Amino acid sequence: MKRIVSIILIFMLLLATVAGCGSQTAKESTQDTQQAESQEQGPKKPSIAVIPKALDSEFWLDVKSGAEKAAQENNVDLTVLAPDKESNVEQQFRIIEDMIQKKVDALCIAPCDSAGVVPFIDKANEANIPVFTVDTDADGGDVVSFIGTDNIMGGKLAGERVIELLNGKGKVALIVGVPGQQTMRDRAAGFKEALASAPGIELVAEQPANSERALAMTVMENILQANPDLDAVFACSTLMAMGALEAVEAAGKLDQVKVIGFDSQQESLEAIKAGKMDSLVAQNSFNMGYLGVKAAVDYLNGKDVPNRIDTGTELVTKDNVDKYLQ
Amino acid sequence: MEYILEMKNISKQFPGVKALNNVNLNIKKGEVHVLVGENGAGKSTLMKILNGVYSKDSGEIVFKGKQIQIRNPREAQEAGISIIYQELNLIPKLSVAENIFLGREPLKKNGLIDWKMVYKETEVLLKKLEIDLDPRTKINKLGIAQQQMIEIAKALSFKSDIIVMDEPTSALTDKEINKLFAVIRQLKESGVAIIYISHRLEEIKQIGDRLTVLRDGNYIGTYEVKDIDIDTIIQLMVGRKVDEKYPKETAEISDIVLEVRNLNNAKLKNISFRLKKGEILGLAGLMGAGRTELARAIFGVDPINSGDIYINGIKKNISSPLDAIKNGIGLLPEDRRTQGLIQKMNVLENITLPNLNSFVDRIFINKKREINKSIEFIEQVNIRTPSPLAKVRFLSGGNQQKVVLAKWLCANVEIIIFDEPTRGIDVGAKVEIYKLICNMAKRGKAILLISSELPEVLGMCDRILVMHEGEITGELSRQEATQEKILSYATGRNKNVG
Amino acid sequence: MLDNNEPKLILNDRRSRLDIKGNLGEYLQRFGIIIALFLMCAFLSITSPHFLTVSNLANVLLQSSINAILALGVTFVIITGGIDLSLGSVLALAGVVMGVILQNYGSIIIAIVAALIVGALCGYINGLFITRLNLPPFIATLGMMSIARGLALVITKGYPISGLPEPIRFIGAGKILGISTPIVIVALLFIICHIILTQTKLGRYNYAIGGNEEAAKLSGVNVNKCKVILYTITGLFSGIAGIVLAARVNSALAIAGMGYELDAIAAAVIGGVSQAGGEGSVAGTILGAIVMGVLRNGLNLLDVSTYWQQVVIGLVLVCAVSLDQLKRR
Repeated sequence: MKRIVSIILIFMLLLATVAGCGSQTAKESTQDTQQAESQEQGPKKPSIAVIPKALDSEFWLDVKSGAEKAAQENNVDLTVLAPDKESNVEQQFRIIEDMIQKKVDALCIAPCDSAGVVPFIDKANEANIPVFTVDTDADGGDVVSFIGTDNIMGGKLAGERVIELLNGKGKVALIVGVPGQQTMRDRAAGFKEALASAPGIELVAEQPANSERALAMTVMENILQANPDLDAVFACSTLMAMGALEAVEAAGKLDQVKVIGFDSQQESLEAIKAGKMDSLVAQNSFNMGYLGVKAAVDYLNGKDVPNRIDTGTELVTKDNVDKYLQ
Repeated sequence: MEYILEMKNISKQFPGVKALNNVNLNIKKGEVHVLVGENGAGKSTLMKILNGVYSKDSGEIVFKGKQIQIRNPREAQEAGISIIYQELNLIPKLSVAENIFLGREPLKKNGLIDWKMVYKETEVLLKKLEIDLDPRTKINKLGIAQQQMIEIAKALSFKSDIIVMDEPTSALTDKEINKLFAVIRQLKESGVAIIYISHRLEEIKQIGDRLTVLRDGNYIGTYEVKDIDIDTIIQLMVGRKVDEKYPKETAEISDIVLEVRNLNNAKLKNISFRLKKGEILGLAGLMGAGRTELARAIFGVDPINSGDIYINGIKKNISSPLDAIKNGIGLLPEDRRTQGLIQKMNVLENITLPNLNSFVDRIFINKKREINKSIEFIEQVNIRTPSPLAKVRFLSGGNQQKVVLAKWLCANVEIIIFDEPTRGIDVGAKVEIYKLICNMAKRGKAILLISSELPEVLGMCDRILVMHEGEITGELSRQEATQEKILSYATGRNKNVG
Repeated sequence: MLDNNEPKLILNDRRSRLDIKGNLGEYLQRFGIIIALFLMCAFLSITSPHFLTVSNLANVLLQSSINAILALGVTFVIITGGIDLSLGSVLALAGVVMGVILQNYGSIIIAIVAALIVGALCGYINGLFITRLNLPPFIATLGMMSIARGLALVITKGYPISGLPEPIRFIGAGKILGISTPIVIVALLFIICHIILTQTKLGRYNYAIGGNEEAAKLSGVNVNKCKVILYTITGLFSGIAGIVLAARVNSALAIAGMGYELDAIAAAVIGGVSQAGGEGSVAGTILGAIVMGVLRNGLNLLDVSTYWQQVVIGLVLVCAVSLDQLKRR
């Protein structure tokens, strides 16, 4: 008897969970039907699915709130679904497949794997669903627009900061990521482009550190050996910046060498607040969601959408770091 | 209130088997009520319903004048109904005291277990039963007989109104049985009712007040023990007359098929003997004398340190049961439930398991041949099963044992070792098993029969080996063997090795 | 009653009905899960207009395929009363080995064969750990879970191997007679597993070992040898799943398949494979995998977040097993 009761309880819990989770949708779908009934007046509410790499970090939650804001402003039926972690590539692709089955009007995807996502973009294309990529672009497939950080712009921002810090004169080092990775290449290129406008600044070293923290530390130690009078270093990722910072700190040159990184992360933000790291270039993840949904709406309404939308970058220094440190 | 417990019109259906059909059982306060019936008659099922292990399909249970629902053994125990199962229910790695107080350990004020109390109480209980044991002894250090006494001690500790004893004496020596009976009388006087299940019908007269007979799940009747004789009881149980207890037939005894020379291992000392075709060789001895160990060594389960085994005159290296089977040896183990059978499989699958190779065409099992062959063996040993595809767990003990036997017949072995083949099996089925054993011998199989029941050894065997502490201490021919002689060798008082 | 004619009569009478009887029992065992699947489908059809379409159902089967392959493999060891926690890691290792060979040598056949061998080898080592070193399956395969994952990361240094050649892609994303290749692969493997379990000696021994290892040993079953073979089969299936997964997502990742072992075990258990051993069927396992696939798909269609999906799947698992227990009473 007890057992039966407990099993019934579990069942009820299960039903309640499903019903609870589904109720939101149920409501929306009733709205849908109401709208469908009164459809003569206006066009049907567009449905857009946003599929981030995960929803387990602030970065992606910001993408989500951006998307929600855009959906609210543009009267969009929005779905945000993500795999439980970024490494669960197949789960993300299953979600894409399910959204294609659901016949959404547009897909905004932050691919967990740029190459792997291509066949699934093809599937969406076959079903006449326009695809937008956010944050990370895909290696192929018919993508209407990539909405993400303009890494060249970001690199430029870092370069301009260096010029400002050194008053246009000094020795600078650059630590890059995996050779051949597009985002890393772009960041380095932007940085060098900015330096080109200040002839007094000399780029004394450019070394790869494969986005690894420990390797970046070794690389930085070597650079400091070769250039004891170095004034600043720009590392193309947060982890490498932290590695470089450790080397600088170990050499006792925190006052002499300014460290600039890319991407915000709790640890690096704290380093800025503590005055150890000079600054970093932060991506605007809220904009990724916001502009992504907006681009999709514009496209569905027949407007022209550029195939590349910059979501903007911002320099985080000690002055504005509190905004990021929550 | 004449009856302390009334079970009225209890019915229970298992898949394919009507286990109980409107069965009644009335128990008076302070009586020893014997429940008899062949295996499969429904005694165990009825007791499991009383204990809350099974739920009944219909009928009612009135206990101390109130209708009650028993949902699990815990509730039964708390209500005052304890059961001592034939298959022991102790946890091997815990101590005697821990087992007795398992799940109801007395607590100190601070909420921790009051171990002092546990051990003291246990000591008192053991003393009452005259068991000379440290309450801290681990159960796995005890023999079966001692474990059984611990079970009884545990039931006593519950201060129950009814104690069910399922075959309590099957593993006890005479001395221990007398002790048990003394305790039962003591309990009776204090008003506790005993439901006593036993296949040893002599015990009924010794200890019983009234008895209830079940047959094939049906209620046959309840009788005063003093008004009924054993033959009548047997007749009521089996529904017919049993003429002979040991249907011994002599077979032609010829060549030596198995010879063991100077076998030694951790439990065995210098064992040598010969077994001939058609012969039934008995292996007697007290519990722990090393008989089962000898069977396991010959069968390749336990390792051998030194010594040789010859099959048909050829020396063989047997290091696994697979080797033993290949050399024509089969073993019906002591505990058929956990060693002899795979309860989750059906009759057919159990029968064909050791000889599955012969049913394989290329790579696939030929099911048709399997079914035909298994039906052949089911008929040959007369297994009462609704179908070869019925799970063995639904069969009675006697029928399960026949499945194990059929398994070895199917494997076509020449040497069959029976380790306690009739333990926990009722009179009717026992005779059937004996008949089968004789039949095997007549067909030229060589049989090694391990048994703790001396009448069985005396009644069935052509020759008897007696073991004591891992050694063979005596050898007796059928003609010269008596209970006294066997016992004197078994206790190590005498030695006679040829 | 002991007249020799009667039992014979019973048997003769039953002989004709044997097969039907046997199957009926099995059908009854699977009844619960079929009803559950039916109810789920009914619920989803009502709440989502997109669920009950041919293309979505094909989609569900495709999505269930990786889990189904792993679950089919693990069914063997669960029936022995064991468990294999290394499925997901072995899957990743096999995929990565295939990827590396494709990248460096380009031979498709060698790459596939190597992936299968790596999978089988991992299973074989699991088997040796369990039978020779006498480790409990839980510990042995927990070790392999870490070893295989580590090796996969070592081989790739953590970088994905992307862009697999077209013939490999066909395994994951192609179609045979209009049916997605992974579904065809699952169907073939299902038939093979079903035959192994019901028609061969190995299958019979598998149930015997799970039902009662001691009794199986005393009946002459070479328990250790069988266990090693069964764990090897499970590893081989992980290898197959690794190939299919890499082909489906067009890249071999060292971090692929994390946690997939739990899904596979859940599918088998939901499908009625007893974790105590000795009972279960691959048909049940496939149904279990489909139940999980339908759940995930349906909940996606209903916009239920993946975090809630985990809660629901956990509850379904508990429900399935408790119903199973109830049935046994």
